[in-house]
Amino acid sequence: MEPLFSPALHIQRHQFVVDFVRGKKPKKVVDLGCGECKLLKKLRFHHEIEMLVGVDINEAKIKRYMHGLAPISTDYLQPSFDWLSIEVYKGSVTQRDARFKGFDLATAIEIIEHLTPADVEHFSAVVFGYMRPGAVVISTPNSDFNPLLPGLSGFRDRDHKFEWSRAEFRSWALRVCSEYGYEVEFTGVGEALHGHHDSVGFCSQIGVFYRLTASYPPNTLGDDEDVFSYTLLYHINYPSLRDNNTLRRVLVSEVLYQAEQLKVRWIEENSGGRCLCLTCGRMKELQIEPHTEVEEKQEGAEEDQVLQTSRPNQQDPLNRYVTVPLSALWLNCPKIKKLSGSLVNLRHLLMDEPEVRLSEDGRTVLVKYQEEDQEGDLDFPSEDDGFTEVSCCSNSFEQEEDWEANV
Amino acid sequence: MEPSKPPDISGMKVAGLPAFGRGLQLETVLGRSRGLPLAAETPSVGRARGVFTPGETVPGPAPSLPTTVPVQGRGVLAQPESLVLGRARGVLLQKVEPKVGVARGSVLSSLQLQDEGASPPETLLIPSGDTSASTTGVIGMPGLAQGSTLVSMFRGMGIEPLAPRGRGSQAVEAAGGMGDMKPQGVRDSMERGSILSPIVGRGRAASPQLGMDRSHSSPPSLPVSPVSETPTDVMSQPPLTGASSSVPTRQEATVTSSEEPMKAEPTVETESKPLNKAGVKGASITIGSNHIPISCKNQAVYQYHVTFNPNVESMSMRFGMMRDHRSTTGEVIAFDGSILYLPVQLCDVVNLKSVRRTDDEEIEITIKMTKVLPPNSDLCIPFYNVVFRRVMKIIGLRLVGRNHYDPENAVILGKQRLQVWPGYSTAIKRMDGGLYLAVDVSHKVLRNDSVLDLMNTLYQQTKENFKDACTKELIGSIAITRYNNRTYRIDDIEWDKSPKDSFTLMDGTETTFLEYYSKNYGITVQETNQPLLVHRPKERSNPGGKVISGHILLVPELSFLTGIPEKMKNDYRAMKDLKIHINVSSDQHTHAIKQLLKNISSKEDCTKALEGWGLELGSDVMMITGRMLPFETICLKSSSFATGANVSWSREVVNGASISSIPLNIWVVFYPRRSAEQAVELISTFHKVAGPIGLRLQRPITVELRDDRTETYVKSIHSQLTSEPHLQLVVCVIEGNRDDLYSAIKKLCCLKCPVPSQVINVRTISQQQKLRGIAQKILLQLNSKLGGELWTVGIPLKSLMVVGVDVHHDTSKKHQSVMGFVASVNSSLTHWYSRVTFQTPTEELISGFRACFLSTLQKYYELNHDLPQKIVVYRDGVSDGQLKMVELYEIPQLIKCFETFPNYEPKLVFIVVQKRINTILYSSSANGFSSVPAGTVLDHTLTNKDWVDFYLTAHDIRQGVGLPTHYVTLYNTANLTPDHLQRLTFKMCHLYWNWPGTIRVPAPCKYAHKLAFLSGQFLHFEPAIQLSDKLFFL
Repeated sequence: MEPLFSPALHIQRHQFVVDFVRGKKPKKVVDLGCGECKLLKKLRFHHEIEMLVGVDINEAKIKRYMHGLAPISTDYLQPSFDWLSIEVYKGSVTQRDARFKGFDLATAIEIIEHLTPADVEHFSAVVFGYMRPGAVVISTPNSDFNPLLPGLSGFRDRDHKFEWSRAEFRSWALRVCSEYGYEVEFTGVGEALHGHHDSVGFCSQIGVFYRLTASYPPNTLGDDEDVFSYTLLYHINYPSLRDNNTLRRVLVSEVLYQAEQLKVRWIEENSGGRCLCLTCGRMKELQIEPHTEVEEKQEGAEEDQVLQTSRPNQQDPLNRYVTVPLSALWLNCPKIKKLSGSLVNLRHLLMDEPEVRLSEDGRTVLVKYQEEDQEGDLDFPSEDDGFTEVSCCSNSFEQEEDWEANV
Repeated sequence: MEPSKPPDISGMKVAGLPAFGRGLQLETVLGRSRGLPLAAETPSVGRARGVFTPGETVPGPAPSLPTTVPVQGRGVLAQPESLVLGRARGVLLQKVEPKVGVARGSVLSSLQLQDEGASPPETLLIPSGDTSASTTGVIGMPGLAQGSTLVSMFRGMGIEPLAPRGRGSQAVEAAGGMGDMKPQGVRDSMERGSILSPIVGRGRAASPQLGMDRSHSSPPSLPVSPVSETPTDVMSQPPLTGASSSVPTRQEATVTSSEEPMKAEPTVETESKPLNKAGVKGASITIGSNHIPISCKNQAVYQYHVTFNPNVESMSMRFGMMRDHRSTTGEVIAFDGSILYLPVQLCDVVNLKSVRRTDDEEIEITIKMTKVLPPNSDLCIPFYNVVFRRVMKIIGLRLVGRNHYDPENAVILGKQRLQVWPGYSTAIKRMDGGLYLAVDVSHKVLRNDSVLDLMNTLYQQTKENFKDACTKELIGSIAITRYNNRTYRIDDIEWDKSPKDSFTLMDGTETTFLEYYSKNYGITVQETNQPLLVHRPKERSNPGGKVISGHILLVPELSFLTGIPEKMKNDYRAMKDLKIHINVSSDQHTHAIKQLLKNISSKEDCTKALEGWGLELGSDVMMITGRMLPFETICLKSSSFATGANVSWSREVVNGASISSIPLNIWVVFYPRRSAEQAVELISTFHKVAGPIGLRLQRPITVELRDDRTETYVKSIHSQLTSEPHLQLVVCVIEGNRDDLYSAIKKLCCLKCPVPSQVINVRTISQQQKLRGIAQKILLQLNSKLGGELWTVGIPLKSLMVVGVDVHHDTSKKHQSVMGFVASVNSSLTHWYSRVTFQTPTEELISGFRACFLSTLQKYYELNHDLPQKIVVYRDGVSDGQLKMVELYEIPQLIKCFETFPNYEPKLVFIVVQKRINTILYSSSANGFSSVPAGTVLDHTLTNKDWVDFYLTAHDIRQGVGLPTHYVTLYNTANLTPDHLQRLTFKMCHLYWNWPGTIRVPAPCKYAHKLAFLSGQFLHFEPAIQLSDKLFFL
């Protein structure tokens, strides 16, 4: 059977929300009746959102799917500046929970038709009267469309308590608006074929509600003390560069790498006698900044400002360091610049990092000047490394055996 | 577990198809007396489809046989109603021919094989067309003329009569395989084959094998016996993971009558007696292992068959309907669309109703109990593993590839732009000792940069041949992406495509990559002109039977490589940095495992998930008793000495004369001018140290090259070789690690102008203080290459040939895979003969075995004027899943070779050598754990219940944890006892002449590995035959 809608209707509904998020850029979003967490999974990719929350009454279902909301591997590899925290609760949308106040967007996709009419009233009061998000997206089946659905008698799902016509949805929505101070736009997804659209509307009707005033209307359900009726089942913070630990980690890795690169280039230039590349020229200007009092420069040092300090025993290459000014790193590496924001900040972040060795004044990074280690031979000892000393122990020899006898 | 996705369980899917019915059953009766059998049931031969089929019967020839004839009856049960499918699966057996010794596989014409009665026992299996691998096993027994036949179409089931040893008959049933299962399909029958033959050889009972197959694609020509899904007895259904298990049952297994399938009682699996694989030699030692015992608190796991009426095609709809009935089944279920496993017992037949949402049709769901499984049944393992994967998720680990990692505790290697994620690989396995969770500490190496960054860097470095450089760097690597948790192998690069191109979504709409990622993942692709990476998945079927094929395109900017960069593997220093993090000591290893166990036990959700199936995880790594094999005695020319605890004899070999040395009279040393000093120094050191080793050495011809270009070397070597035809050896001193130069020299000396050659990196001989030791080692190596003999150990087996086999795969898949084959051709195991064959990549199984083996036997005959009476083959590089295939294809190839020689029936032992395993052994002492001493053997509890196998740590472990080598004996007509197998193997680990100590694998395997590596990596051709009697590849 040819599917009626393409893409499938449930995907279109989710896409509607995604598009809405892309357009309005809400920071805090809650999905009421998140079920299998599918919508949350999609929304987590949208950087505008900083806090994503789901709630559903079916705990088993949430538990089955919530782990899918965990960050994916690459979120750890290259964390972004975005901040995202996801929480999933078990709870009923007909009950209040103070943690659900203050959202920019609440969605209730195909939820209200599963509520009894009395619960729909509670729902309205909780969502519009108590949580009072900046916007609410509610979708529900449009019963006007049902005649176009082949083979359908009754409701689209056995659990539906009702399916509203466009007029019924409209009247409920308008009543909610006037009661709680919202305005609503009607739209939907799933258009009928062959020009029936005008007569039946969308297969799924959607109401987008916008809060008119920030203030709570006086008639909100009275008691204002905080209620926590939901149970938190899952909580995760995505790695973000706004988190100092993460930032430091990424920064250290970048600084170590770039310092190493600068060192290698400096060594090459110093030994190969090639002319300095352009970046080095720029670095030179920076050099003017007073940072060199500690080190003794060697010849050539003024040219590059990757300096080589001579530490006590110069003989041993393991104790020689190349100094790389932070300013050179900051200027040369856009990524470091972006990560740290300012030179002061960079220094501050690298301070106390065990992996990065800073000079005493904190202006330069010390990088070991190490000779290349010995490499193994092409042809040679392939099994393990090194010949170790043999200790000859004389164990009592075994008697000659003959296994044949047993065979 | 998640009912809706049994995905990894390939078998389950398969099993799920209703059409094929699953249950077949067979049963066995064994007649102890001759004729008993079967006849009765057979007659009805089921040619009739629907109803039942008869089984097969076996053989008739019985009467004349002296021995007992087993019989097999097989009850197949077809259920009448299920008629279902016309898929035939049948088994059939045809008439049996009275002739002796003829076996015949009926059915598929293509597969018939005949075997002459007189010939030595052999089992041949031939795979039939692709879908069904049917095999025919023929067993001819010489003495008894009787041929039993067996046809197995697929996975057959084999039954054999018992050998007194207690093996009893084993009935095996395999589930039908489709799709992925194919390869395994064959397994049962193979297995049987192997088992049988030994039996046969001994003149014991004849064993008919019977196979039946259930695959969907059975050849039309077969008589059909529908398989019913009735409860059948006995057998276990093969597990899904592919390993089809053969669950041996006792012979008294029940037979359900086919007529009354409905009433048949669900059967209970029974256990078979364990194989005898324990040795006794050596001192006991307490060792720990990375295995955590799992106890099963439930009495049983119940297997049900679920039918939907009218039929529901969509798997997801089936899952959905089952989900709706949780009130009946409980929350804990494992369902693959057709087979349902529950930890609880329902009524024998449960009828439920659901409404199909698409058309409101009422669907009747019938759940019938088919089997009662012991809770540690192989069938349960796959879904236990699914449950465990969930546990790993609950404790917050991320799945990358197959293992779980903790990115929050990543170690960052800034200089290399890598991150190392600590993590675990875990698997629940059933071993001889019961159910265990095997935990290994794993580290995932990931690159900080996207593939696009990497390409940019490459571009900076290599402008002209940028594309080649990219191909070299990227192809074969595994990438993860920014938008999902999957891993993809990069198979190709589409240079002509870019993210601006469009592709077709599942629903048929076209979209560009740019749009797609932006819309679905909020990702803006910055670089719109990058090429795309191509991943070509293996063709497979999804649960609905739809074939998934085609390739997947990845955007480099959104992809990250995993694994250690190839370039870095050659960078000693970088690898050292990395190894600090990756190599963990035994103490760290056990600590990490304990930490994992603690994390699991502290999360209630985890313990609950496991409890759902009655599983309880032990609280610590297991302790077990192993043995330390006695030290071996190394024999030089005139001295011998026992090895010590560090199993190294580097001092002895340079102070005592080697067994034999080839006088080095005419040889040449090439070196570039810059290295003249070192080369001259080396030559003079050679002369100083040659005496004690027993090597007579003349002054070499020295050739100073004016530069170190590859061409200069090649030209000079070539002209020397042509002007001096008796040249024994070429030594080249080169500067740096240069693969191209190395390859050119080796090609010249191994292919074009065959002569032993030695390439020495000048850096190795640059340090004065080490030069003496280095020169000694090089001389030993040269002597080996020339055909000298360094040392040996005493092996109390006469007329023995030991063979080592390994396969080298080219990681980029550009070149063919190479099999190295090395065999001993003298009694002291000091002369080795080697051959190489090439085969298409990815084919681990060796088809060129026969040619290699034949020429080796000929060589042996030439040298010894006799053929070896015992042949022991060590075969490296076979995973658990391939054991059956090796048994099916490689071993018969070898046996077939014997026929080439008149009256030649040597004893054969075939041992698979597995280095990459996840069993780790620790030595336990008061201060914690350390690595086990060399010579530690473990042959019980953690061993495989289907084979005679053992773990041996032959080498001295200096760092990291002790990874033993696993040895699986697939074939053993020499009847070597477990002690002999273990000690022979340990002895063989002493004979690798490039290392004066023991190594991880038997020396012939290591030689074969070196040979395959040289041929595959540098030569790309078979080395010249003139070199085949020397260890020129060392």
